[in-house]
Amino acid sequence: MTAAAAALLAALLSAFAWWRFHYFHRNPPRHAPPGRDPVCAADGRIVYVEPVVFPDGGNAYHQRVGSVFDLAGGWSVIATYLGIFDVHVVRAPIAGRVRLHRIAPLGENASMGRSFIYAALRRPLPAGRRGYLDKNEFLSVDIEGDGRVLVVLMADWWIDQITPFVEDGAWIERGQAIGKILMGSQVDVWVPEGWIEPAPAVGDRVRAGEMVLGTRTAPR
Amino acid sequence: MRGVRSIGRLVRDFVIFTAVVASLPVLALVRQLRRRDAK
Repeated sequence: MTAAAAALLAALLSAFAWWRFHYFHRNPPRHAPPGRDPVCAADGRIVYVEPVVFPDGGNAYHQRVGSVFDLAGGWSVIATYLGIFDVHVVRAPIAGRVRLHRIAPLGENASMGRSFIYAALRRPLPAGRRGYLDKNEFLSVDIEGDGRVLVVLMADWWIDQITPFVEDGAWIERGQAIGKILMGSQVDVWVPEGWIEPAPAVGDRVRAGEMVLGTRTAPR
Repeated sequence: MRGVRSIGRLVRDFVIFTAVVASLPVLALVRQLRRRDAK
């Protein structure tokens, strides 16, 4: 091995160690903006925003989440992809009481590698590229307060764990940290259809707990 | 060590980290070309 190759490897290993043991685990303070509009749940890039109508609409993933929480009517799903350099602490879009529900994987977790590429190219993730939704492990957080919002923390195939920071039945504040995903994943926020006018568009970068997810259109 | 369950997983994390870092300039170039084509 030449000296240049050894130096490159050493630099790469040092960068990896810094990222893996320090940078990835950061939890910077966030200050929710004033008002009642929901804030973003995760740092990352929006990969799709789509409607789903129960009981018949949506795909297998929607049905998995919908059956757990007895969802009815129309919902909007706003999906954020978290890259490996994003903060992985997930925050509550609204204040309210939480119900936690772990949804077990159906077999092996599938890869979200394509999500990384589509997010990097600022393109919407096509429905045909979301096979992981039908298989992977989720932690669903139902928040009911001044409205009702679901936050789904989703594991990539190489995920070690999804760790909740709150207990089932606890009251949480808007923007409060509710959990952490180790490492790299997707977070979906489900809101009743028409409840907000989503602020970020597909490809936009968002920040948890600080950026408004959408403007409330009606009390509900 | 923080969040490490096995050496195998640590090696896997290193491979993924390296692949992501290596792909970033390529993806940035693709994005730039797409933007240029769109004009």
